[in-house]
Amino acid sequence: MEAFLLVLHVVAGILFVGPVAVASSLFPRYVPKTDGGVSSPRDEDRSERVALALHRVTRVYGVLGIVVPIAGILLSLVQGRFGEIWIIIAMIITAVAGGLLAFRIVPAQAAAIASPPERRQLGRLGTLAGVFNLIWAAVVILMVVRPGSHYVS
Amino acid sequence: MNTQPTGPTRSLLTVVAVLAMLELASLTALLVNLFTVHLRPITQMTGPLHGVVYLTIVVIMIFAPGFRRLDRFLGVIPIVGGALAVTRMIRARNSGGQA
Repeated sequence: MEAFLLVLHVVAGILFVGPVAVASSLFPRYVPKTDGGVSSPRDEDRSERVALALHRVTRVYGVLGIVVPIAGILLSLVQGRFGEIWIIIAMIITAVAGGLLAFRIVPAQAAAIASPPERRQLGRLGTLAGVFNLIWAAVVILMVVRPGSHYVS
Repeated sequence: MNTQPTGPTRSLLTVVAVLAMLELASLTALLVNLFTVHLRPITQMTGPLHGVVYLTIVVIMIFAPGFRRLDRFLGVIPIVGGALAVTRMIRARNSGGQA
């Protein structure tokens, strides 16, 4: 049971959270924008279809990503280490990442597709994606270093 | 006259309401267990559940679109926050959103 939950937790983390991190980072680079007089050669790559695909990846894999905390919580309960400080911190910042994705990033992407955004809004989307990715980096560090753990593996 | 008031969607409010009930129920279970049989397995299962539910409510109240600032502050109060936010939202809506 422990091995199964750990495999599920790690595989879901890689396959479900990974695509969200990539898609949300690339989205501002590919969504069509108001040209505002200046356009660089890179803007020729912008297309609504690509933006829709990236938006879909962000949304669908984001929902699938719920598997990661669920498997993680079950795993920590099975191992009897739920109360350890690194798990609690990881859960809190994971919840923040989830809230950021569901209530900030996904709606902002939908709005950007509905009406072409300006440069400033694109920057905001990029920042959100960056913060989201940083949070996951922090969570992975906690998972590897496990500060405050008494568990002997 | 009856324009759609801006605010959290109905389904989100339902989610918060269910979570608020779950938060209260899990706390009740914990306290009842504490003062009666005090079985360790109950504590071990319900404690984390209670924490996760509270955490979910807090994140929704902070990040979800549409809540007013005061509701966000009130929403992060343990036990009553979620319920408070939902009832305040419903009341504001019933009074035509011009509270």
